[in-house]
Amino acid sequence: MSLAGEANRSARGVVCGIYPITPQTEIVEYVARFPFSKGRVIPVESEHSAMGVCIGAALNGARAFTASSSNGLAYMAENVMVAAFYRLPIVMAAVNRTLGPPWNIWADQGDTLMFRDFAWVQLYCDSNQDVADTTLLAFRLAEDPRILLPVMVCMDAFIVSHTSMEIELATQEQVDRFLPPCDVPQRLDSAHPVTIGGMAFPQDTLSQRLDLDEALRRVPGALEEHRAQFREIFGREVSGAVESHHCEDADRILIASGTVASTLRSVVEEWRLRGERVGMIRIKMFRPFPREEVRALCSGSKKVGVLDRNYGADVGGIFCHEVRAALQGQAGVGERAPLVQSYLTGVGGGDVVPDTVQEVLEELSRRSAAGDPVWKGIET
Amino acid sequence: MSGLALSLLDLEADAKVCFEAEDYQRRPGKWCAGCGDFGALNAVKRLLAKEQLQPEKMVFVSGIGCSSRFPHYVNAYGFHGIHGRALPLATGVKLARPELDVFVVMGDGDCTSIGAGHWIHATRYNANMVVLMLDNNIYGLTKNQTSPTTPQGYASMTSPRGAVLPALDPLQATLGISNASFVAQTADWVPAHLYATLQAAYEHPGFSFVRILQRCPKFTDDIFAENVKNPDATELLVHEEGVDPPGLEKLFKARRVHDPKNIDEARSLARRTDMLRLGIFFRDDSMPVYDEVRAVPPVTPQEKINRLNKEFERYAV
Repeated sequence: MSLAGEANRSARGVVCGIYPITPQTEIVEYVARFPFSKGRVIPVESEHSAMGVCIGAALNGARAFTASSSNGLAYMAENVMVAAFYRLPIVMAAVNRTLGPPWNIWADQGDTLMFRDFAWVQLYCDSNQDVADTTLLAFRLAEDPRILLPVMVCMDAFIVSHTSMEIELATQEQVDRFLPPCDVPQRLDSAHPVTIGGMAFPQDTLSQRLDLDEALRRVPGALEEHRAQFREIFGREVSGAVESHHCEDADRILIASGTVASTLRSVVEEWRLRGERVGMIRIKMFRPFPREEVRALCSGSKKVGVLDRNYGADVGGIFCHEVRAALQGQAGVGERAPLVQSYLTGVGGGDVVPDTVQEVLEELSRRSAAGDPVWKGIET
Repeated sequence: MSGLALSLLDLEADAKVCFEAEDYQRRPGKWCAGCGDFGALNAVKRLLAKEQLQPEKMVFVSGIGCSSRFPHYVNAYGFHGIHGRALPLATGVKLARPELDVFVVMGDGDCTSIGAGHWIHATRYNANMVVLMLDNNIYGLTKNQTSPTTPQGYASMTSPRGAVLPALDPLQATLGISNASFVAQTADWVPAHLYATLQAAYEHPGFSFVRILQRCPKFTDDIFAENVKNPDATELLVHEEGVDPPGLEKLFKARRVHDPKNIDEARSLARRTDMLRLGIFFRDDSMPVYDEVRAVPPVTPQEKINRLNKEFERYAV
């Protein structure tokens, strides 16, 4: 988990407001450990203040970073929204932990998904390497003058945050090439002092929301450009908005995000060896949602099962809700849209093991129509 | 005699007429060995037994942190709330059910950091409740990060080169709030003083703020070590209106007579850093109490009729 901290440290000159919460604490402890020559690490009194510090820094053109999790994110929410609505290129590492009550520290994406309408770019990582690389990519994307939106780098509690794996770290020289000093329009300009935060009329707000939406729509193209740069400088790939396997001729497709997608990958490979026409998609970018890619990948399939490690009140899984919206009534999905079934797997942090995915695939294979969300792991 | 009346009689026969301190322990406390929170729990159990409080007539409200596990271990109603928000929750409980005894348990993180805004306003409301602020000078639950009460220069995981700022002093801060009515300091390693202070806090009508200095054997054991070893480094504030538990005069030679009604002296003593001071710094039982100020007086049937008639008269044709 300190990888998010390491990526942030190597990005230099960063202002960080930090406040601990399990299981994010190691990230902020890591950044606190290093004396920055230009940056400042400020241990504040709450998550709300941590984002406040980032907003203040970013308004003056500084690179800003923080990290949080679960109820810490809930408390931070007001400023999370402000960060995006002022188009501030802040990067936040968010460790996905179940929202309480009941108090629970295990992995669940409900915390970051509550920001789905806050106009942040959200990237869900599936491994330690992905976290390290995506954090660097996030700064680059956020500070892109066409984008200027905050970016959230999300990772599953404990499964990613507290496990170790061998990874390739970037050298400082590489990072400096990829991330030159932050150069964004927001900066102190003593020649043109302005006051931010004025009263707006409905028409002003409408324009501002449209402006946010347009910035979000520019993200996919910009992301691909920055991935290409990443490849050139670091000599390896960083994953993009979606990752897919065997979707070309699949009649059944499973979709997931975060670490659950890694489990899908191995189960789908096994089923393929048995001659089953199954495929999988890992959705890394939740906002903006990769609708075009999902549509294209699912165009030939009959059934889509979405595994969500989150609970959307009244809609089943939140990723499923988005997938369903992306596939519904759109051109390019064959004669009719595939059935889309929601599977709630690992809600509240339960393990999603290969057997869970097997059961989901078997259930999906038997299905002739989509139904109510299927809750996996309920003890009867 | 009806069957119902008979069964009520049976219940009465079985009802516990006398609670021992251990009756108030719901389950064993799960804190680290040597944690000062155990001392606070023991003192509270003694107080509840002394007052013979009925478990169903009291509520323990906490936030998040090591000390906030407290309600799980007390045989009473409990609410393990949200980080920093114990005080507004407790205020709601007290306003809805003024007859219940309300206890709030917070740590230095809950009270002086993320929930500091509520601390100021709850002190000002002066609702009738006992507030235990267990201050170990560190964030313990998340394992060793600087808190507002961490001494300047003290290293932690978030301030590896030492806390930058001087510590926030909860006594000075509380004594500076309008309508503060009871401010005391005690320590987990002086059980007799801790118990006597909680007793006084319980008897005080209003918001009784008790800062309990609490050893954290994992992360801040050294902060209080000198005071634990050497009683001469501590001065007891004594007064007939304060606390002066018998037996402590032999251990603590430094004693100062301090009238808890004297707020200027209280503030001056809180500001001094030459010695650790335990005792009631300030107490004024005459301050307006929020649950009484906001109590809705009972309305007689005649008064209701008068009000209705007054209302009807507005529409008379």
